[in-house]
Amino acid sequence: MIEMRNVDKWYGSFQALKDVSLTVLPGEKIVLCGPSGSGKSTLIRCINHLETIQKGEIVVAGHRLSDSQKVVDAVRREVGMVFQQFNLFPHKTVLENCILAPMRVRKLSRADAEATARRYLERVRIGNQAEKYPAQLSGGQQQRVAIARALCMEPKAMLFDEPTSALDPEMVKEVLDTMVSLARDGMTMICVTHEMGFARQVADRVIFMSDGEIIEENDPERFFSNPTHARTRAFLGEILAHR
Amino acid sequence: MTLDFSVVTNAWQALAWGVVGTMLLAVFGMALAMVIGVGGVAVLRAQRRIPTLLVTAFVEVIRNTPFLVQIYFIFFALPFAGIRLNPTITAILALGLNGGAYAIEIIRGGVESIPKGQTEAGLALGLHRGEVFRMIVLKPALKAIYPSLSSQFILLTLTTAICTSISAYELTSVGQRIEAETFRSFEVYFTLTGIYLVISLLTMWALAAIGRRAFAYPDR
Amino acid sequence: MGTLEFTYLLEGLRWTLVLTAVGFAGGIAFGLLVALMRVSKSPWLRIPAIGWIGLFQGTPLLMQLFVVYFGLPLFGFDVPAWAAVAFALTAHASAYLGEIWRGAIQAVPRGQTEAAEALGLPSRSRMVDILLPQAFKLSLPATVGFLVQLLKGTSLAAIVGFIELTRAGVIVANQIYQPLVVFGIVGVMYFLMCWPLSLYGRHLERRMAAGISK
Ligand SMILES: Nc1ncnc2c1ncn2[C@@H]1O[C@H](COP(=O)(O)OP(=O)(O)OP(=O)(O)O)[C@@H](O)[C@H]1O
Ligand SMILES: [Mg+2]
Repeated sequence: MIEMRNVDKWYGSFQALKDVSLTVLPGEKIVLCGPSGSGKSTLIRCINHLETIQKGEIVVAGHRLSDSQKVVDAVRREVGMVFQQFNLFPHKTVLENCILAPMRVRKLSRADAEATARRYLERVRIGNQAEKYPAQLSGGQQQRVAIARALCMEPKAMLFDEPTSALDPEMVKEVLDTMVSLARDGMTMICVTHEMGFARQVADRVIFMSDGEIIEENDPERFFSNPTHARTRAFLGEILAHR
Repeated sequence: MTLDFSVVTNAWQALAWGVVGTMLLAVFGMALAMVIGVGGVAVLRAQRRIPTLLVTAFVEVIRNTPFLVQIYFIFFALPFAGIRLNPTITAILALGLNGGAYAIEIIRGGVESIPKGQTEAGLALGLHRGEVFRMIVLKPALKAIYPSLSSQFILLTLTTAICTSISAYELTSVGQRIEAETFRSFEVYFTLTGIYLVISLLTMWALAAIGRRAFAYPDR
Repeated sequence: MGTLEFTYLLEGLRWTLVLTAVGFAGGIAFGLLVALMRVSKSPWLRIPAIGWIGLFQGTPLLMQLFVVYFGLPLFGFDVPAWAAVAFALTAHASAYLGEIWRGAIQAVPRGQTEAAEALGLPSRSRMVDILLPQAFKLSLPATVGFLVQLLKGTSLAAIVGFIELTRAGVIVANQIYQPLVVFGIVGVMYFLMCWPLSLYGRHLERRMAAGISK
């Protein structure tokens, strides 16, 4: 479904990704963790071409990424993204947020787009807020709308970049529950998150990054109980100490 | 000293048409300014060297020369380019170019005030850059700069008075005609000043009301 | 265009500078008065200042020039044309600068007033020693920006017939039938005066923004 081969990414003279290779099968759930600045966001932003790479290749749903607008369009149609800061459009209602891209990109009629939108809003349990503006919702509600908005494009895979770290603690659970249920339905997911409970519950693999490199990857059971690298152990120690 | 305001009260119809002329100049000038402003910002955002240089030069030249010189220049330049426009159209062109230079600065500030995440979210949903600008960035940016744009519109309205220098049809040129017939300069211009003041105050009030409606969505 | 015409333009340019200088100097003096009245606690001072500012910001500079130019003689002041224009520009500048400085005075953090009060400084000293120096610094970019506006504004004196740079340009253009060349040169002259000021204003603004974020 998603394949990265020997990817190098530079910001000017700073190398943010070093020889990263990663294969994600359809339906797989990957949790990506690592210290701040280790390149997690960079990695997933390369997948939908928000960042460009300098070496290696990335293939998404059969499309080999390049600068060609057609390829980029195709990839972005297949991949949804959820951001740390929600990034809902403030001047559009919840419903309008959800139908914009389906109408513009997928060329759905308004009626079809709305029907889809209402279905997904219902799914993230926010169906009764469709006419409100983002600013009138809590952080947790906004993030669930953002998830629904991405789902409205009927993507084959979803990328999450720390979807719960801008939320007040009491709202984290409602967003995680939504993500868990999405995982249960078989969505292919790559999640940057430090929610280890979530990782244990749904991840097929947990990947640990540090300084732009993938250091360790394993199934959650072994990853947490028996990390092989010193850096992973140190990182896990810090995360757990904060709990 | 005797003041005789009957010369103006007698000409109230001509003055009323003058007000209409002034408002039309202001509205069309501002519309053109907005087109130039949005276009200029789009050019600047594309970050190509030569177009960026041209837009920057345009902004600097307009902002650092008097409107009166600009309107004279355009008025005399157009015929050389083989274009014959009546003074009123020329005035709209001059007002639009002048206002456009200020609009570019204002709109750019507004666009820069929109978080990058908004653009990224749009791109991630598969929208193209142009669509992202039009459908996602533009309205919140306009909301952010609406107060500055409103002041700019008032300023532009007041600037229309200068268009009398090329005899465009507006309030001041109507006033000058009355003055030429009656020699009651002070009475005429004193009255015009009052009319302009009323226009500014009403415009300010109307723009605030429009703004409350057009950008009714809550911010945070 | 020959040297004769060019000298004529320079002659006009000199008057443009004189008008700008007089208007700006007068504007500084009266603008300070307007600003102080505008921030005063007494409505007897504040409301006239609000009206003064609104009057000049709500009407065209050209009308202000006309009213003063034709009004002064009516009220028995027989002054030369340049003085009438300078007088109008002064009044105009006092309103705009007054409003700029009002904003600056009110932008000085409240804590400064409170600290000065806590020290027992009399209100005069609070204003002169504490608020005005800080407000002056804050207002500098906008003040320079207004100077550019005023310099460009002096061109309107041409419409009442006073021979400054723009009027000189009109006269020369009519004589030699080369309006584009003449207005091009006149435009360049204005640009050479205004642009450095604009750059300086922007430089001040950037330095201040950097200072605040520090
Ligand atoms: N646009 C950019 N220009 C220059 N450097 C950048 C840019 N974006 C990221 N970086 C650098 O690349 C490195 C990786 O950044 P990235 O955002 O991927 O880290 P991260 O693992 O997501 O960290 P965090 O947990 O803080 O979100 C960091 O050192 C960062 O400073
Ligand atoms: Mg990150």
